[in-house]
This record gives sequence, structure tokens and C-alpha cells, in this order.
Amino acid sequence: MTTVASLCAKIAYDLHENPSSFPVSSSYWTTDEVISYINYAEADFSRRTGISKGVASLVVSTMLVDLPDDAVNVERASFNGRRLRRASSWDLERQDANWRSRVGRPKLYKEDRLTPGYMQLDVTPSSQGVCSIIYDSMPQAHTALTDSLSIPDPWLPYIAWEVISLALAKDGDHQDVERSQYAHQRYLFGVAIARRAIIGSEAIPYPVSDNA
Amino acid sequence: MLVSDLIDNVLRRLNEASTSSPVRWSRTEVRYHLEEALMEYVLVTGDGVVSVDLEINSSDNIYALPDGISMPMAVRDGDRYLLKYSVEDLDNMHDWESDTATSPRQTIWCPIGLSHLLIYPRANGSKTVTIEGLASYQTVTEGSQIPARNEMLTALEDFVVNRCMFKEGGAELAQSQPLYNRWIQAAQHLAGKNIIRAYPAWQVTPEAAVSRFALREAAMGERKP
Repeated sequence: MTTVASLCAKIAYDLHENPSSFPVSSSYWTTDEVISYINYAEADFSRRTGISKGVASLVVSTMLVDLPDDAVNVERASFNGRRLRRASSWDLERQDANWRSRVGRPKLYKEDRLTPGYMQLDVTPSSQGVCSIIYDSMPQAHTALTDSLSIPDPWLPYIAWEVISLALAKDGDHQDVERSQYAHQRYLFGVAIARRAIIGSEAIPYPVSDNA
Repeated sequence: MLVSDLIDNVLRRLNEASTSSPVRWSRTEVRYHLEEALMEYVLVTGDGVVSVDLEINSSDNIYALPDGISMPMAVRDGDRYLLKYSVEDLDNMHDWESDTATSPRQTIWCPIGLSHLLIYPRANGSKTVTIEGLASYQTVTEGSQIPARNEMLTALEDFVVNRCMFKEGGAELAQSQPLYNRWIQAAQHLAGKNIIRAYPAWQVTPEAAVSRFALREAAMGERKP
């Protein structure tokens, strides 16, 4: 994996900085500032594209399930190997107004009307079980130049474009709004490619035999 | 063509008096831009498909995508392709997660984003399947061959010249935009060709029969009943 420092070295050329010492010796951008731009770009890219998924198995004994810190959106959930269907509070209320006091084997889960970072089962599990989830994952924030980047390497040029965009948009003598906007457009092009890659990964309807 | 040859061409187009000791751009900088061009080349055109082995076992269905691949396109068990489903479809057909039965033959795979994939049923022991997908990031050196089709080398050169001009900004950047447009047109052209070349890859059936909704027939409005 590429490190924060090696991405900074590439970005330095476009900012007319010295690649061997950027951002440490820069007079325009601080190290913390550039790292925060990279964190911004990686988080925004993940949010817009959903390319990074997380898989987790959580031990659960209550209705409320505490999701992993990097979870944004639960795509699929199961309890003890049985798939849970997504529902809403409205669904559960209409089905049974006393659903919160029920105990049994969970069949549904919901994410609405909750503190972010939690999902809720439709019943309290009758015994402790394992809730497996597949979710959209957010990258961890970096704090040092030696950290490895979270977004896979093929997408790093687009992360670099957004970092350049943010750097050039900063108020000051080095501000260049025109180049900043252009860099952002190139970043959005990468977002579009990644989204197409996800959509292109959708399965075909199985398997249509032409001879049938 | 060698990477160093393309860098020389780019530096000449940027009006550098010396290609060995350029003033406004360094050779390393141009090489970085070429690497960026190669990454976009793979992602836009679908060229550069590689095969990477993945070890699977009897206790898991979900695996992280192995290094070297940025986007999985197919999975093979030996010479036999697995059928591609979405996780949603598989959920509707099989109770795959609680099905701990193992099999010597894996039949289905599902992409999970671009970071994981699911293989069903579980293997009856440790074995290897082959993932086919778009090649991941690759660095190049000055002495290496450019890993792209010959017909795309001029378009890659256009990309790199335009990319270098970003540093200049202003009118010079704006004036180099037609070069990027040329690159996009060439990449789109190749992407279209690759779709035709791959047809009917997305219609693989157990009988491996060609779809009756063949491209030409569909295009000509001659779809048979």
C-alpha cells in the first residue's frame, strides 16, 4: 500500500513544492493540513462510491446492535446464519405495537430512528447469538506521513486530484480557484469510474439458457 | 515503446530544450503522470485483465480481494467459470450463510463492493480459485516497456502532456485541454471495442451457448422469438 508521504511527494509537483520535503518544509501548507486534506478526500471518495465494504461478526444479546466504528450503511445482516430483512420503525409498529417487548429469533432489522452507529433487531434474541453484517466502510483517518493510505492504489490519482483541489482553494497568495475547480472535476471523473465499476458488478439475471 | 522514449516525446512537446536535464518538469514527475495515465487507461478501457490466485477454505464464504486486482470480473475453479450473482440473488436462492456443507466444486461467486467477494458453496478443504479482473496499480521504470496496446501510445502521450500542463495553469492548461479530450475519445473507442470483443461474456450459461439475443440481431431489430 502507498503511504501518505509517497502520495504527498507526487502532489508536490503540482503545487510547485519540493517533492523530497513536502509538506514538512512547505511555507504554504502544514503537514497536519495536508494530512487532513487526504483524510477528507478518502472519506469523501468512500462515501460517494461505496467501493470499500466491511464484514463483521458481532456477538449480540440485546435488540440494539452497536455497529463497528467504520460502518456507514448496513447492506446485509444475518443472525446466527439466517438472513435478516431490512425493515423500518413504521413497518414494525404496524406489525405489532408491542414489538419492543418481544423475545425470540430475530428476522428483521432497522436503522431508522436510532442514534447513528446502531441498528435494531425486531425482537430481543432469546439467547446470545452472532450477528454478521456486510457494510459500507469508511476509511480510518491518518495522523502521520508514514501511515498507509486506505483507498486502494488504482484510485489514488483521484484522491490526489481532490487534495490538490483543496490545497489550491485555500485562501492566500497561492490560491488558484480555476485550477482547484479543474482538479475537482478530475476527482469527480474518478468517482464516476468507481461508481460504474460498482454498478457493473451487479449480477446478470441467472442464467438465461437460450436453448431452453 | 519504452517508458523513457515516451518521456522524451512528452518533454519535447513541452518545449524542453533538453530531455535528459529538463528545467520545468523532471523525468520522475513525467513518469508519475504516465503511471496515472496507465491507471486511468485500465479503469476506463477495461484493458489489462490479469489472473490472480485466491486460497479458499472450508470455513468461509467471504474473502478479501487479493492484491493485484482492482476490480473482479470473473472467477474460475480450474478451467471452469463460476456463475456471477449478486448477494441479494444468492440470498433469495440459497441459505448460503448457514449452509456449512462443503463441496469440491464451487459454482457461484458474488462481488461485494470492490474489496471482497463471496464464493459458494464452501470448498471441501484448502484449494485455489483464480480471480480474473482489472490489473491493480503498477509502477513503471524508464527501462520498462509501456504496458498498453500500441495503438494507445499516442493517446497516452496526449494524456501526459495535458497532465504536465496542469502545473502551468491558466491559458496554458486551457489550451492543452483538447489533448485530454483526444485521450478520452481514444479510451472510449477502445472501451467500445473491448465490449464487442468480450461479447457474450456476460451471458455465460451452463451450456456455454451463444445468446440468441446476439448483438448484431439486436442492433438490426431482428430479434428472434
